[in-house]
Amino acid sequence: MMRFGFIFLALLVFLNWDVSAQANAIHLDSMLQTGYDELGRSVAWRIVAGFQVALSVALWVVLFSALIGVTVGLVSGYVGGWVDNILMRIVDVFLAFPGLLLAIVLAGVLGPGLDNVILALVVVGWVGFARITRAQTLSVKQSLHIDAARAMAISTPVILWRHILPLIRLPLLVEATFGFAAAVLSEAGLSFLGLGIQPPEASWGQMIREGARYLLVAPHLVIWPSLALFIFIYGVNSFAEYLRRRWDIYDQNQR
Amino acid sequence: MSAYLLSRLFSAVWVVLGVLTLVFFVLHAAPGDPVELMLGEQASGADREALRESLGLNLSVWEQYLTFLSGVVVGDWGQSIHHAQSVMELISARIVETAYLAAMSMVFALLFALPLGLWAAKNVGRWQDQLAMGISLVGISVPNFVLGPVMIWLFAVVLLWLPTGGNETPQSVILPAIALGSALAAISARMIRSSVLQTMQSAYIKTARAKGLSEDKVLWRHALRNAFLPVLTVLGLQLGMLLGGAVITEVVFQWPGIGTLMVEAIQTRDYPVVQGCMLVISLAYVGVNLLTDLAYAQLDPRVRLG
Repeated sequence: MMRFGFIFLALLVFLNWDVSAQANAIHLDSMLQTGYDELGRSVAWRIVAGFQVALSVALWVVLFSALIGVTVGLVSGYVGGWVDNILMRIVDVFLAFPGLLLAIVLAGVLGPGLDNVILALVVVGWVGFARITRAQTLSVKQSLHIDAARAMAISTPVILWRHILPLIRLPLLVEATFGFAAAVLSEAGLSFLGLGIQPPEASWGQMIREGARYLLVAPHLVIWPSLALFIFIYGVNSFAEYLRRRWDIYDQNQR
Repeated sequence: MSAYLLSRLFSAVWVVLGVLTLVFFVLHAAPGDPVELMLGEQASGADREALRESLGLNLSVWEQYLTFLSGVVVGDWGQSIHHAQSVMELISARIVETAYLAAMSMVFALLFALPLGLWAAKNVGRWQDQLAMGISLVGISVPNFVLGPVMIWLFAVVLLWLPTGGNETPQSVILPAIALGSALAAISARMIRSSVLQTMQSAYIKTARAKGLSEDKVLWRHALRNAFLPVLTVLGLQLGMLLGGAVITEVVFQWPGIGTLMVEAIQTRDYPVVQGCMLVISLAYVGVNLLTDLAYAQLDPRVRLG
């Protein structure tokens, strides 16, 4: 847990670093051999700025999705009965929208911008947390210590928070790590379609979109942000894989 | 069978109703007045009222909702704001292209995943396994809008082997199908590996080995048949990912399918068309999932009896 705290702290420091001046400046002395875009802006600085955007979108999306999804999953799994029935039917409806589709339409309807991208991705993202939390809650609910807590007349919110949530935190952390990578990919996808972060703000997806127009003469405009996106996603996915193997968690999403 | 069939059908009907409701209210809450979009700002008040009436926009939200529901059922999906065509006509012209692209991606995914997954399973724990799973993690981590432009640059610009986009020639489908299918291929390879490994633990495999069959025969004749069942289900479920990804892939390659239609419609605020595209894709997804579940129940009695 300590390590996650440090990672989080480092992210906060990084996110507070203001790079917009460098990312939008027109100057021809680059710190790296990544070149310039069509307006003379440094590709390297724009990748740094895009990294900040990706991180902050992903952090907020995972945070809000987990808040909603875990709450729904805990209540649904623990209370059961008609409450479970209704909540799971709602989850089913959200699962009926394939992949990014709902987020694309929501982002299109809400209009572009950071807040709307986060909102659109949370609407899509909470469902995964709800499903995994419910499944885990159902199995933990059977254990004796829950019976004991109930016999002592401990209230339901306290049982959920103190006696169930700590036991299911590891699979949730793995889900959050995969969700983090998915959020970065989705933000890039939305921005690639022109429905996410708008220029002059930098985002990896939007850099690829703009760069694709000059693919024939300046492929570096596509290659560098693509490489940044790939390395980051690969890193986060490998980390999530490592956590899953280390904590020996069965992949719920594979059914 | 019939009780299972009924319960699955019932839940599919509920999901479809939920999808319709969600789509209607999301697009109803969209900012911007459709009448303004169609007539422009200079239109007279009387013209606006007339159009509002003919579109049914003067009714209450609930009346509009009911009209929308009954319209969907009888196949009246409304008129496009920007094209002089009905939504139904626009979509039916494009749906074949998307279905073709999705099918070719599935074919590519299977052609790629089957050997990779089997190779990893046969050499489990060794470097071949690590390499195959590494390749698969790369496949999961490269989004289609990254793979697409890079492949266009390499195969269409530098090597001149394939067209950059569109669907004019038969070869045009190759690059988009690979871009769209790569993530599915990666996930399927993992599924095939773990499914084969699980099947290899069963008692009947031990029997087959005990009677002296070669390892290849055990794998191909005995293990693969059972191992493939869960993989097929996952393929059905992953179709959703494919359809969602098709939107972006079609834009990358200018493929004239539902995805490009939807993105164009979003950009021009042509909400009836957006609504129609969303409905068609979700309904196809729900339908395929239902069919997958039923096929699985048919193939594996434990599902419908358990």
